[in-house]
Amino acid sequence: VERLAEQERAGRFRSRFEDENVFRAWYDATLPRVYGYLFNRCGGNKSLAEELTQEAFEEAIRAQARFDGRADEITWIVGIARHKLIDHYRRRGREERRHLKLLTRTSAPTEDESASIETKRDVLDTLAKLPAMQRAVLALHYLDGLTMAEIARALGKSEGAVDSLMSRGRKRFRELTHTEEGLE
Amino acid sequence: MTRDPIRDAFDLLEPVPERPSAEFANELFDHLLQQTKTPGGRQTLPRRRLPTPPLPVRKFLIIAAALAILAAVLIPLLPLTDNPVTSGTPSGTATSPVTPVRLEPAETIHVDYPQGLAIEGGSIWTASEFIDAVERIDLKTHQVSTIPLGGGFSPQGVVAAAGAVWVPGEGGIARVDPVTGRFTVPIHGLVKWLASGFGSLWASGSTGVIQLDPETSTIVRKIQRPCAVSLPGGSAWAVVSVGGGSVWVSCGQTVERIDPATGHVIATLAHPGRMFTGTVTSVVAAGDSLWLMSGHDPYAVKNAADAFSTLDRIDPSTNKLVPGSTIQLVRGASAGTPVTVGDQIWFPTTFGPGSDAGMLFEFDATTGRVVKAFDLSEGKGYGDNAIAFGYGSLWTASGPPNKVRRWLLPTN
Repeated sequence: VERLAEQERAGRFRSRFEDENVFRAWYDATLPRVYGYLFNRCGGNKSLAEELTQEAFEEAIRAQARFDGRADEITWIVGIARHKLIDHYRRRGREERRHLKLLTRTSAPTEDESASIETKRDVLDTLAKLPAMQRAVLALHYLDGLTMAEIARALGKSEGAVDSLMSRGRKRFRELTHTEEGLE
Repeated sequence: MTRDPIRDAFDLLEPVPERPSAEFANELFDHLLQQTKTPGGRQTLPRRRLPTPPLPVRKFLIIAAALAILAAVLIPLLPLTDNPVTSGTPSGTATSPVTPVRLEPAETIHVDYPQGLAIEGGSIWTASEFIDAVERIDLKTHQVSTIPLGGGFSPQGVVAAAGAVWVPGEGGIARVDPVTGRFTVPIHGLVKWLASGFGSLWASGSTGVIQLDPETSTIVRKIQRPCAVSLPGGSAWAVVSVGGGSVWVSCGQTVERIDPATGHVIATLAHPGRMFTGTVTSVVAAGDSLWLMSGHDPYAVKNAADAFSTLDRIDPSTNKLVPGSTIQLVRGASAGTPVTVGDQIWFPTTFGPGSDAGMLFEFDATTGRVVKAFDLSEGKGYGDNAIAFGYGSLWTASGPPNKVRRWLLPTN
Protein backbone atom coordinates (compact mmCIF):
# COMPACT_ATOMS: atom_id res chain seq x y z
CA VAL A 1 0.00 0.00 0.00
CA GLU A 2 2.82 2.33 0.90
CA ARG A 3 4.56 1.62 -2.39
CA LEU A 4 1.38 2.39 -4.31
CA ALA A 5 1.04 5.66 -2.44
CA GLU A 6 4.59 6.54 -3.36
CA GLN A 7 3.95 5.75 -7.00
CA GLU A 8 0.85 7.87 -6.92
CA ARG A 9 2.79 10.80 -5.40
CA ALA A 10 5.47 10.43 -8.03
CA GLY A 11 2.90 10.37 -10.82
CA ARG A 12 1.16 13.41 -9.37
CA PHE A 13 4.45 15.25 -9.20
CA ARG A 14 5.25 14.58 -12.86
CA SER A 15 1.77 15.72 -13.87
CA ARG A 16 2.60 19.15 -12.39
CA PHE A 17 4.61 19.92 -15.50
CA GLU A 18 2.03 18.93 -18.09
CA ASP A 19 -0.40 21.80 -17.72
CA GLU A 20 0.50 25.47 -17.32
CA ASN A 21 -2.19 26.22 -14.73
CA VAL A 22 -1.29 23.22 -12.65
CA PHE A 23 2.38 24.08 -12.93
CA ARG A 24 1.68 27.67 -11.88
CA ALA A 25 -0.24 26.58 -8.81
CA TRP A 26 2.53 24.17 -7.80
CA TYR A 27 5.19 26.79 -8.50
CA ASP A 28 3.41 29.49 -6.48
CA ALA A 29 3.18 27.15 -3.52
CA THR A 30 6.73 25.87 -3.78
CA LEU A 31 8.73 28.97 -4.69
CA PRO A 32 8.45 30.76 -1.31
CA ARG A 33 9.58 27.62 0.50
CA VAL A 34 12.64 27.16 -1.68
CA TYR A 35 13.56 30.85 -1.81
CA GLY A 36 12.91 31.29 1.92
CA TYR A 37 15.16 28.33 2.66
CA LEU A 38 17.97 29.73 0.55
CA PHE A 39 17.67 33.41 1.51
CA ASN A 40 18.66 32.92 5.15
CA ARG A 41 21.41 30.50 4.29
CA CYS A 42 22.85 32.93 1.75
CA GLY A 43 23.33 35.55 4.46
CA GLY A 44 20.42 37.56 3.08
CA ASN A 45 22.04 37.91 -0.35
CA LYS A 46 18.99 38.37 -2.58
CA SER A 47 20.65 37.89 -5.95
CA LEU A 48 22.45 34.76 -4.79
CA ALA A 49 19.24 33.34 -3.34
CA GLU A 50 17.51 34.02 -6.66
CA GLU A 51 20.30 32.38 -8.65
CA LEU A 52 20.30 29.24 -6.50
CA THR A 53 16.49 29.13 -6.52
CA GLN A 54 16.58 29.16 -10.29
CA GLU A 55 19.16 26.37 -10.35
CA ALA A 56 17.11 24.28 -7.91
CA PHE A 57 13.93 24.56 -9.98
CA GLU A 58 15.79 23.85 -13.21
CA GLU A 59 17.27 20.75 -11.64
CA ALA A 60 13.86 19.66 -10.32
CA ILE A 61 12.36 19.86 -13.80
CA ARG A 62 15.34 18.15 -15.36
CA ALA A 63 15.35 15.37 -12.76
CA GLN A 64 11.59 14.96 -12.31
CA ALA A 65 11.80 11.31 -13.31
CA ARG A 66 14.03 10.69 -10.29
CA PHE A 67 11.32 11.74 -7.84
CA ASP A 68 10.05 8.44 -6.47
CA GLY A 69 7.40 9.71 -4.07
CA ARG A 70 9.16 8.53 -0.93
CA ALA A 71 9.64 12.09 0.26
CA ASP A 72 7.35 15.04 0.21
CA GLU A 73 7.71 17.14 -2.97
CA ILE A 74 8.76 20.22 -1.02
CA THR A 75 11.29 18.24 0.99
CA TRP A 76 12.70 16.86 -2.25
CA ILE A 77 13.15 20.20 -3.99
CA VAL A 78 14.49 21.85 -0.83
CA GLY A 79 16.99 19.00 -0.77
CA ILE A 80 18.04 19.98 -4.29
CA ALA A 81 18.32 23.59 -3.14
CA ARG A 82 20.57 22.50 -0.31
CA HIS A 83 22.85 20.72 -2.78
CA LYS A 84 23.01 23.87 -4.88
CA LEU A 85 23.82 25.89 -1.76
CA ILE A 86 26.59 23.51 -0.75
CA ASP A 87 28.03 23.57 -4.27
CA HIS A 88 28.04 27.34 -4.10
CA TYR A 89 29.82 27.40 -0.74
CA ARG A 90 32.41 24.92 -1.94
CA ARG A 91 33.13 27.02 -5.03
CA ARG A 92 33.17 30.21 -3.02
CA GLY A 93 35.33 28.68 -0.31
CA ARG A 94 37.88 27.62 -2.89
CA GLU A 95 37.92 31.04 -4.47
CA GLU A 96 38.32 32.74 -1.09
CA ARG A 97 41.10 30.39 -0.09
CA ARG A 98 42.91 31.07 -3.31
CA HIS A 99 42.62 34.82 -3.01
CA LEU A 100 43.45 34.92 0.65
CA LYS A 101 46.59 32.93 -0.03
CA LEU A 102 47.65 35.40 -2.67
CA LEU A 103 46.89 38.48 -0.69
CA THR A 104 48.64 40.17 2.11
CA ARG A 105 46.17 42.41 3.77
CA THR A 106 48.23 45.50 4.24
CA SER A 107 45.30 47.82 3.74
CA ALA A 108 44.25 50.07 6.57
CA PRO A 109 42.53 48.26 9.43
CA THR A 110 38.78 48.36 9.17
CA GLU A 111 36.73 50.14 11.75
CA ASP A 112 35.03 48.22 14.51
CA GLU A 113 32.54 46.06 12.67
CA SER A 114 30.92 44.60 15.74
CA ALA A 115 27.32 45.37 16.54
CA SER A 116 24.67 44.07 18.84
CA ILE A 117 22.33 41.52 17.36
CA GLU A 118 18.67 42.21 17.74
CA THR A 119 16.93 41.59 14.47
CA LYS A 120 16.84 39.05 11.68
CA ARG A 121 18.74 41.51 9.47
CA ASP A 122 21.53 41.70 12.08
CA VAL A 123 21.92 37.94 11.94
CA LEU A 124 21.99 37.90 8.14
CA ASP A 125 24.50 40.76 8.00
CA THR A 126 26.75 39.01 10.49
CA LEU A 127 26.48 35.74 8.61
CA ALA A 128 27.38 37.48 5.36
CA LYS A 129 30.63 38.76 6.92
CA LEU A 130 31.92 35.27 7.62
CA PRO A 131 34.13 33.38 5.16
CA ALA A 132 32.09 31.09 2.92
CA MET A 133 32.92 27.77 4.54
CA GLN A 134 32.37 29.04 8.08
CA ARG A 135 29.03 30.45 6.91
CA ALA A 136 28.15 27.10 5.35
CA VAL A 137 28.94 25.14 8.50
CA LEU A 138 27.00 27.48 10.79
CA ALA A 139 23.99 27.57 8.45
CA LEU A 140 23.90 23.81 7.93
CA HIS A 141 24.22 23.18 11.66
CA TYR A 142 21.99 25.85 13.15
CA LEU A 143 19.39 26.14 10.41
CA ASP A 144 19.31 22.66 8.91
CA GLY A 145 20.19 20.78 12.07
CA LEU A 146 22.89 18.68 10.43
CA THR A 147 25.46 16.94 12.59
CA MET A 148 29.18 17.52 12.14
CA ALA A 149 29.45 14.17 10.33
CA GLU A 150 26.64 15.06 7.95
CA ILE A 151 28.15 18.46 7.23
CA ALA A 152 31.54 16.88 6.61
CA ARG A 153 30.02 14.48 4.08
CA ALA A 154 28.10 17.29 2.36
CA LEU A 155 31.11 19.56 2.07
CA GLY A 156 33.60 16.82 1.25
CA LYS A 157 35.71 17.58 4.32
CA SER A 158 36.91 15.65 7.34
CA GLU A 159 34.98 15.96 10.58
CA GLY A 160 38.04 17.55 12.14
CA ALA A 161 38.07 20.23 9.46
CA VAL A 162 34.37 20.88 10.00
CA ASP A 163 34.88 21.10 13.78
CA SER A 164 37.60 23.65 13.18
CA LEU A 165 35.40 25.65 10.80
CA MET A 166 32.57 25.57 13.33
CA SER A 167 34.85 26.73 16.11
CA ARG A 168 36.30 29.58 14.05
CA GLY A 169 32.89 30.52 12.69
CA ARG A 170 31.37 30.70 16.17
CA LYS A 171 34.32 32.73 17.45
CA ARG A 172 34.08 35.20 14.59
CA PHE A 173 30.30 35.40 14.94
CA ARG A 174 30.70 36.26 18.63
CA GLU A 175 33.39 38.82 17.87
CA LEU A 176 31.14 40.50 15.35
CA THR A 177 28.16 40.57 17.67
CA HIS A 178 29.72 40.99 21.09
CA THR A 179 27.78 37.95 22.23
CA GLU A 180 29.17 35.86 25.03
CA GLU A 181 28.49 32.35 26.19
CA GLY A 182 26.29 32.53 29.25
CA LEU A 183 24.06 30.74 31.69
CA GLU A 184 20.39 31.10 32.05
CA MET B 1 21.81 25.28 31.69
CA THR B 2 24.29 26.63 29.14
CA ARG B 3 22.83 29.16 26.78
CA ASP B 4 24.07 29.31 23.21
CA PRO B 5 23.81 32.93 22.00
CA ILE B 6 24.49 31.90 18.43
CA ARG B 7 21.59 29.46 18.55
CA ASP B 8 19.47 32.32 19.90
CA ALA B 9 20.58 34.54 17.03
CA PHE B 10 19.78 31.94 14.39
CA ASP B 11 16.38 31.37 15.96
CA LEU B 12 15.53 34.91 14.87
CA LEU B 13 15.68 33.79 11.26
CA GLU B 14 13.10 31.07 11.04
CA PRO B 15 9.73 32.50 12.07
CA VAL B 16 9.14 34.66 8.97
CA PRO B 17 10.77 33.27 5.81
CA GLU B 18 11.74 35.85 3.23
CA ARG B 19 9.53 35.92 0.15
CA PRO B 20 10.85 36.39 -3.39
CA SER B 21 9.96 39.51 -5.35
CA ALA B 22 7.03 39.28 -7.77
CA GLU B 23 9.32 40.31 -10.61
CA PHE B 24 11.72 37.47 -9.94
CA ALA B 25 8.87 34.99 -9.41
CA ASN B 26 7.25 35.85 -12.73
CA GLU B 27 10.49 35.93 -14.68
CA LEU B 28 11.58 32.57 -13.33
CA PHE B 29 8.15 31.08 -13.96
CA ASP B 30 8.25 32.08 -17.63
CA HIS B 31 11.69 30.58 -17.95
CA LEU B 32 10.74 27.32 -16.23
CA LEU B 33 7.58 27.04 -18.27
CA GLN B 34 9.70 27.01 -21.40
CA GLN B 35 11.82 24.29 -19.87
CA THR B 36 8.81 22.11 -19.16
CA LYS B 37 7.90 22.43 -22.84
CA THR B 38 11.39 21.74 -24.14
CA PRO B 39 12.96 19.19 -21.82
CA GLY B 40 16.65 18.80 -22.46
CA GLY B 41 16.82 22.24 -24.02
CA ARG B 42 19.09 25.05 -22.97
CA GLN B 43 19.07 25.26 -19.20
CA THR B 44 20.57 28.62 -18.47
CA LEU B 45 18.48 31.69 -17.89
CA PRO B 46 20.20 34.70 -19.41
CA ARG B 47 21.58 37.17 -16.92
CA ARG B 48 18.68 38.98 -15.31
CA ARG B 49 18.19 42.55 -16.35
CA LEU B 50 18.04 45.25 -13.76
CA PRO B 51 14.57 46.66 -13.33
CA THR B 52 13.88 49.75 -15.41
CA PRO B 53 14.41 52.80 -13.20
CA PRO B 54 11.70 55.44 -12.87
CA LEU B 55 11.71 58.28 -15.43
CA PRO B 56 13.64 60.92 -13.36
CA VAL B 57 16.33 58.34 -12.66
CA ARG B 58 16.44 57.38 -16.35
CA LYS B 59 16.93 61.05 -17.26
CA PHE B 60 19.74 61.31 -14.75
CA LEU B 61 21.37 58.15 -16.09
CA ILE B 62 21.18 59.41 -19.66
CA ILE B 63 22.84 62.70 -18.66
CA ALA B 64 25.48 60.81 -16.63
CA ALA B 65 26.20 58.53 -19.58
CA ALA B 66 26.55 61.50 -21.90
CA LEU B 67 28.99 63.15 -19.47
CA ALA B 68 30.99 59.92 -19.19
CA ILE B 69 31.30 59.66 -22.97
CA LEU B 70 32.31 63.33 -23.16
CA ALA B 71 34.94 62.74 -20.48
CA ALA B 72 36.24 59.69 -22.34
CA VAL B 73 36.77 61.86 -25.38
CA LEU B 74 38.31 64.87 -23.61
CA ILE B 75 40.54 63.31 -20.97
CA PRO B 76 43.08 61.77 -23.39
CA LEU B 77 43.43 65.21 -24.99
CA LEU B 78 44.56 66.87 -21.75
CA PRO B 79 48.23 67.95 -21.71
CA LEU B 80 50.57 65.71 -19.74
CA THR B 81 52.30 67.10 -16.66
CA ASP B 82 54.98 65.84 -14.30
CA ASN B 83 52.81 66.21 -11.23
CA PRO B 84 52.45 62.94 -9.39
CA VAL B 85 48.97 61.57 -8.94
CA THR B 86 47.88 62.16 -5.38
CA SER B 87 44.37 60.82 -5.37
CA GLY B 88 43.85 57.49 -3.67
CA THR B 89 40.39 56.95 -5.06
CA PRO B 90 39.67 54.98 -8.20
CA SER B 91 38.58 58.03 -10.11
CA GLY B 92 38.85 58.17 -13.85
CA THR B 93 37.03 57.26 -16.96
CA ALA B 94 34.17 54.87 -16.50
CA THR B 95 34.75 51.28 -17.55
CA SER B 96 33.51 51.62 -21.07
CA PRO B 97 30.64 52.98 -23.08
CA VAL B 98 30.99 49.82 -25.17
CA THR B 99 27.98 47.55 -25.09
CA PRO B 100 29.05 44.03 -24.17
CA VAL B 101 28.53 41.33 -26.74
CA ARG B 102 27.26 38.13 -25.26
CA LEU B 103 29.16 35.05 -26.41
CA GLU B 104 28.46 31.37 -26.12
CA PRO B 105 31.41 29.00 -25.77
CA ALA B 106 32.29 26.90 -28.79
CA GLU B 107 33.46 24.21 -26.44
CA THR B 108 33.58 23.51 -22.71
CA ILE B 109 36.04 21.14 -21.08
CA HIS B 110 35.62 20.28 -17.43
CA VAL B 111 38.84 20.60 -15.47
CA ASP B 112 39.23 20.72 -11.70
CA TYR B 113 39.53 24.39 -10.73
CA PRO B 114 41.85 25.58 -13.53
CA GLN B 115 44.21 28.45 -12.70
CA GLY B 116 46.30 29.94 -15.46
CA LEU B 117 46.57 28.84 -19.07
CA ALA B 118 49.44 28.08 -21.40
CA ILE B 119 49.56 26.54 -24.86
CA GLU B 120 52.55 24.31 -25.52
CA GLY B 121 53.27 21.12 -27.45
CA GLY B 122 49.81 20.77 -28.96
CA SER B 123 48.09 20.94 -25.59
CA ILE B 124 46.41 23.42 -23.30
CA TRP B 125 47.96 23.48 -19.85
CA THR B 126 46.47 24.64 -16.60
CA ALA B 127 47.02 23.99 -12.89
CA SER B 128 44.92 23.33 -9.83
CA GLU B 129 46.26 24.09 -6.39
CA PHE B 130 43.42 22.11 -4.85
CA ILE B 131 44.57 18.80 -6.27
CA ASP B 132 48.27 19.77 -6.42
CA ALA B 133 48.45 18.96 -10.10
CA VAL B 134 49.04 20.23 -13.60
CA GLU B 135 46.32 19.39 -16.08
CA ARG B 136 46.87 18.85 -19.79
CA ILE B 137 44.12 19.05 -22.38
CA ASP B 138 45.06 17.37 -25.63
CA LEU B 139 43.93 19.68 -28.43
CA LYS B 140 43.18 16.77 -30.78
CA THR B 141 41.33 14.42 -28.49
CA HIS B 142 40.31 16.92 -25.78
CA GLN B 143 41.28 14.31 -23.27
CA VAL B 144 42.27 15.76 -19.91
CA SER B 145 45.21 14.16 -18.17
CA THR B 146 46.36 15.04 -14.68
CA ILE B 147 49.98 15.22 -13.64
CA PRO B 148 50.23 15.17 -9.82
CA LEU B 149 53.04 17.32 -8.49
CA GLY B 150 52.93 15.96 -4.97
CA GLY B 151 51.01 17.04 -1.90
CA GLY B 152 51.67 20.59 -0.79
CA PHE B 153 53.10 21.83 -4.08
CA SER B 154 50.03 24.06 -4.46
CA PRO B 155 50.58 25.29 -8.03
CA GLN B 156 49.51 28.85 -8.75
CA GLY B 157 49.59 28.99 -12.54
CA VAL B 158 51.43 27.91 -15.69
CA VAL B 159 53.92 29.63 -17.99
CA ALA B 160 55.24 28.33 -21.33
CA ALA B 161 58.92 29.02 -22.01
CA ALA B 162 61.74 27.35 -23.93
CA GLY B 163 59.57 24.44 -25.07
CA ALA B 164 58.46 23.50 -21.57
CA VAL B 165 55.68 24.26 -19.13
CA TRP B 166 56.74 25.94 -15.90
CA VAL B 167 54.62 25.82 -12.79
CA PRO B 168 55.15 28.13 -9.79
CA GLY B 169 53.80 26.99 -6.46
CA GLU B 170 54.39 26.79 -2.77
CA GLY B 171 56.71 23.86 -3.40
CA GLY B 172 58.93 25.75 -5.84
CA ILE B 173 59.00 25.78 -9.64
CA ALA B 174 58.23 22.63 -11.58
CA ARG B 175 59.34 22.09 -15.17
CA VAL B 176 56.99 19.84 -17.11
CA ASP B 177 58.05 18.19 -20.36
CA PRO B 178 55.09 18.72 -22.69
CA VAL B 179 55.83 15.54 -24.65
CA THR B 180 56.30 13.03 -21.87
CA GLY B 181 54.41 14.80 -19.11
CA ARG B 182 57.31 14.14 -16.76
CA PHE B 183 58.37 16.88 -14.43
CA THR B 184 61.32 18.02 -12.39
CA VAL B 185 61.48 20.63 -9.63
CA PRO B 186 64.64 22.67 -10.24
CA ILE B 187 63.72 25.33 -7.68
CA HIS B 188 62.42 24.55 -4.22
CA GLY B 189 60.67 26.96 -1.87
CA LEU B 190 57.73 29.28 -2.02
CA VAL B 191 57.23 30.88 -5.45
CA LYS B 192 54.12 32.92 -6.03
CA TRP B 193 54.61 34.60 -9.36
CA LEU B 194 56.38 33.65 -12.51
CA ALA B 195 56.86 35.58 -15.73
CA SER B 196 58.79 34.92 -18.91
CA GLY B 197 60.84 37.57 -20.69
CA PHE B 198 64.29 38.51 -22.02
CA GLY B 199 65.10 34.81 -22.46
CA SER B 200 64.67 34.17 -18.75
CA LEU B 201 62.06 33.23 -16.22
CA TRP B 202 61.50 35.70 -13.39
CA ALA B 203 60.09 34.33 -10.16
CA SER B 204 59.18 36.07 -6.94
CA GLY B 205 59.22 34.39 -3.57
CA SER B 206 59.68 35.21 0.07
CA THR B 207 63.28 36.38 -0.27
CA GLY B 208 63.18 38.28 -3.51
CA VAL B 209 63.28 37.66 -7.23
CA ILE B 210 65.06 34.84 -9.01
CA GLN B 211 66.19 34.98 -12.62
CA LEU B 212 66.16 31.47 -14.10
CA ASP B 213 67.61 30.18 -17.36
CA PRO B 214 64.83 28.02 -18.84
CA GLU B 215 67.25 26.18 -21.12
CA THR B 216 69.39 24.86 -18.27
CA SER B 217 66.93 25.19 -15.37
CA THR B 218 69.61 26.98 -13.39
CA ILE B 219 69.56 30.20 -11.43
CA VAL B 220 71.22 33.11 -13.24
CA ARG B 221 70.80 35.71 -10.55
CA LYS B 222 69.11 36.31 -7.23
CA ILE B 223 67.78 39.78 -6.61
CA GLN B 224 67.50 39.93 -2.84
CA ARG B 225 64.76 42.09 -1.38
CA PRO B 226 64.08 44.36 -4.33
CA CYS B 227 61.37 46.14 -2.39
CA ALA B 228 62.33 49.08 -0.21
CA VAL B 229 59.63 48.08 2.27
CA SER B 230 60.09 44.88 4.20
CA LEU B 231 57.79 41.98 3.61
CA PRO B 232 55.77 40.46 6.43
CA GLY B 233 57.52 37.35 7.72
CA GLY B 234 57.34 34.41 5.38
CA SER B 235 55.08 36.06 2.86
CA ALA B 236 55.70 36.51 -0.83
CA TRP B 237 53.54 39.08 -2.39
CA ALA B 238 55.72 40.83 -4.91
CA VAL B 239 54.29 40.42 -8.37
CA VAL B 240 56.66 40.11 -11.27
CA SER B 241 55.69 41.24 -14.71
CA VAL B 242 57.75 41.90 -17.80
CA GLY B 243 57.35 44.67 -20.33
CA GLY B 244 58.81 47.86 -21.75
CA GLY B 245 62.36 46.52 -21.54
CA SER B 246 62.13 46.00 -17.78
CA VAL B 247 61.07 43.60 -15.08
CA TRP B 248 58.53 45.06 -12.66
CA VAL B 249 58.04 44.04 -9.06
CA SER B 250 55.02 45.15 -7.05
CA CYS B 251 55.96 46.09 -3.49
CA GLY B 252 52.75 47.32 -1.96
CA GLN B 253 52.74 51.08 -2.32
CA THR B 254 55.46 51.14 -4.93
CA VAL B 255 56.42 49.23 -8.04
CA GLU B 256 60.14 48.69 -8.60
CA ARG B 257 61.57 48.80 -12.12
CA ILE B 258 64.46 46.40 -12.63
CA ASP B 259 67.02 46.32 -15.41
CA PRO B 260 66.98 42.71 -16.67
CA ALA B 261 70.65 42.93 -17.73
CA THR B 262 72.00 43.92 -14.32
CA GLY B 263 69.24 43.01 -11.89
CA HIS B 264 69.45 46.50 -10.40
CA VAL B 265 66.46 48.57 -9.40
CA ILE B 266 66.55 51.54 -11.75
CA ALA B 267 63.38 53.33 -10.71
CA THR B 268 60.58 53.30 -8.18
CA LEU B 269 57.08 53.98 -9.35
CA ALA B 270 54.93 55.55 -6.65
CA HIS B 271 51.25 56.18 -6.49
CA PRO B 272 50.65 58.00 -3.20
CA GLY B 273 47.51 56.97 -1.44
CA ARG B 274 46.93 53.90 -3.57
CA MET B 275 47.88 50.48 -2.31
CA PHE B 276 49.11 48.14 -4.98
CA THR B 277 48.26 45.10 -2.94
CA GLY B 278 44.90 43.48 -2.75
CA THR B 279 44.75 42.45 -6.35
CA VAL B 280 47.00 41.22 -9.09
CA THR B 281 49.02 44.35 -9.70
CA SER B 282 51.14 44.28 -12.76
CA VAL B 283 52.68 46.37 -15.46
CA VAL B 284 51.39 45.56 -18.91
CA ALA B 285 53.21 46.59 -22.07
CA ALA B 286 51.51 46.88 -25.45
CA GLY B 287 53.04 48.50 -28.48
CA ASP B 288 54.96 51.52 -27.23
CA SER B 289 52.89 52.10 -24.13
CA LEU B 290 53.09 50.87 -20.58
CA TRP B 291 50.15 50.54 -18.22
CA LEU B 292 49.92 49.81 -14.53
CA MET B 293 47.01 47.65 -13.44
CA SER B 294 46.07 47.99 -9.79
CA GLY B 295 43.08 48.06 -7.51
CA HIS B 296 41.36 46.04 -4.85
CA ASP B 297 40.07 42.53 -5.01
CA PRO B 298 36.52 41.78 -3.76
CA TYR B 299 38.07 39.92 -0.83
CA ALA B 300 40.28 42.82 0.17
CA VAL B 301 37.51 45.34 0.71
CA LYS B 302 34.76 45.41 3.28
CA ASN B 303 32.07 45.63 0.63
CA ALA B 304 32.76 43.46 -2.42
CA ALA B 305 30.81 45.89 -4.60
CA ASP B 306 33.58 48.43 -3.93
CA ALA B 307 36.23 46.24 -5.57
CA PHE B 308 37.84 47.77 -8.61
CA SER B 309 40.70 47.54 -11.05
CA THR B 310 42.19 50.53 -12.79
CA LEU B 311 44.76 51.17 -15.46
CA ASP B 312 47.19 54.07 -15.34
CA ARG B 313 49.49 54.98 -18.19
CA ILE B 314 53.16 55.01 -17.21
CA ASP B 315 55.50 57.57 -18.68
CA PRO B 316 58.63 55.41 -19.15
CA SER B 317 60.91 58.43 -19.38
CA THR B 318 59.95 59.81 -15.97
CA ASN B 319 58.72 56.60 -14.35
CA LYS B 320 55.61 58.39 -13.20
CA LEU B 321 51.97 57.74 -13.81
CA VAL B 322 50.48 60.09 -16.35
CA PRO B 323 47.93 62.34 -14.63
CA GLY B 324 44.44 62.00 -16.00
CA SER B 325 45.16 58.68 -17.66
CA THR B 326 43.33 56.53 -15.13
CA ILE B 327 40.87 54.13 -16.67
CA GLN B 328 38.47 52.41 -14.35
CA LEU B 329 38.46 49.01 -15.93
CA VAL B 330 36.42 46.85 -13.56
CA ARG B 331 33.95 47.64 -10.81
CA GLY B 332 32.55 45.16 -8.31
CA ALA B 333 34.62 42.29 -9.64
CA SER B 334 38.15 40.99 -9.72
CA ALA B 335 40.44 41.24 -12.73
CA GLY B 336 42.18 38.18 -14.13
CA THR B 337 45.58 38.01 -15.81
CA PRO B 338 45.81 40.22 -18.93
CA VAL B 339 47.25 39.13 -22.27
CA THR B 340 48.77 41.46 -24.87
CA VAL B 341 48.32 41.00 -28.61
CA GLY B 342 50.00 43.81 -30.58
CA ASP B 343 48.59 47.11 -29.35
CA GLN B 344 45.63 45.44 -27.67
CA ILE B 345 45.44 44.26 -24.09
CA TRP B 346 42.80 41.68 -23.23
CA PHE B 347 41.52 41.66 -19.67
CA PRO B 348 39.31 38.90 -18.30
CA THR B 349 37.35 39.48 -15.11
CA THR B 350 36.52 36.86 -12.54
CA PHE B 351 33.50 37.11 -10.35
CA GLY B 352 32.00 39.60 -7.95
CA PRO B 353 28.69 41.31 -7.29
CA GLY B 354 29.18 43.91 -10.05
CA SER B 355 27.99 43.70 -13.63
CA ASP B 356 31.64 43.63 -14.76
CA ALA B 357 32.03 40.08 -13.46
CA GLY B 358 32.50 37.45 -16.13
CA MET B 359 33.55 39.87 -18.84
CA LEU B 360 36.41 40.13 -21.29
CA PHE B 361 37.58 43.61 -22.22
CA GLU B 362 39.69 44.51 -25.23
CA PHE B 363 41.70 47.60 -24.37
CA ASP B 364 43.44 49.65 -27.04
CA ALA B 365 46.72 50.63 -25.39
CA THR B 366 47.41 53.36 -27.93
CA THR B 367 44.23 55.34 -27.37
CA GLY B 368 43.70 54.22 -23.79
CA ARG B 369 40.15 53.05 -24.35
CA VAL B 370 38.16 49.90 -24.00
CA VAL B 371 37.09 49.12 -27.55
CA LYS B 372 35.22 45.85 -27.10
CA ALA B 373 33.54 44.03 -24.27
CA PHE B 374 32.37 40.44 -24.28
CA ASP B 375 30.10 38.79 -21.74
CA LEU B 376 31.51 35.30 -21.14
CA SER B 377 29.54 34.63 -17.98
CA GLU B 378 26.99 32.20 -19.42
CA GLY B 379 24.44 34.00 -17.28
CA LYS B 380 26.04 32.97 -14.00
CA GLY B 381 28.48 35.79 -13.50
CA TYR B 382 31.46 33.46 -13.16
CA GLY B 383 34.39 34.78 -15.09
CA ASP B 384 37.82 33.67 -16.06
CA ASN B 385 41.12 34.03 -14.23
CA ALA B 386 43.26 33.49 -17.32
CA ILE B 387 43.04 33.61 -21.10
CA ALA B 388 45.21 32.49 -24.00
CA PHE B 389 44.98 32.79 -27.75
CA GLY B 390 45.86 29.79 -29.87
CA TYR B 391 44.71 27.51 -32.66
CA GLY B 392 42.34 30.15 -34.00
CA SER B 393 40.46 30.48 -30.75
CA LEU B 394 40.34 32.23 -27.43
CA TRP B 395 40.77 29.89 -24.49
CA THR B 396 39.71 30.77 -20.97
CA ALA B 397 40.12 29.16 -17.56
CA SER B 398 37.42 29.65 -14.98
CA GLY B 399 37.98 28.29 -11.48
CA PRO B 400 34.63 28.29 -9.69
CA PRO B 401 32.69 26.41 -12.39
CA ASN B 402 35.68 24.13 -13.13
CA LYS B 403 35.82 24.93 -16.83
CA VAL B 404 38.28 25.57 -19.62
CA ARG B 405 36.32 27.03 -22.50
CA ARG B 406 37.03 27.77 -26.15
CA TRP B 407 35.51 30.81 -27.80
CA LEU B 408 35.34 32.12 -31.32
CA LEU B 409 35.49 35.88 -31.25
CA PRO B 410 33.49 37.84 -33.83
CA THR B 411 35.75 39.06 -36.61
CA ASN B 412 34.15 42.49 -37.05
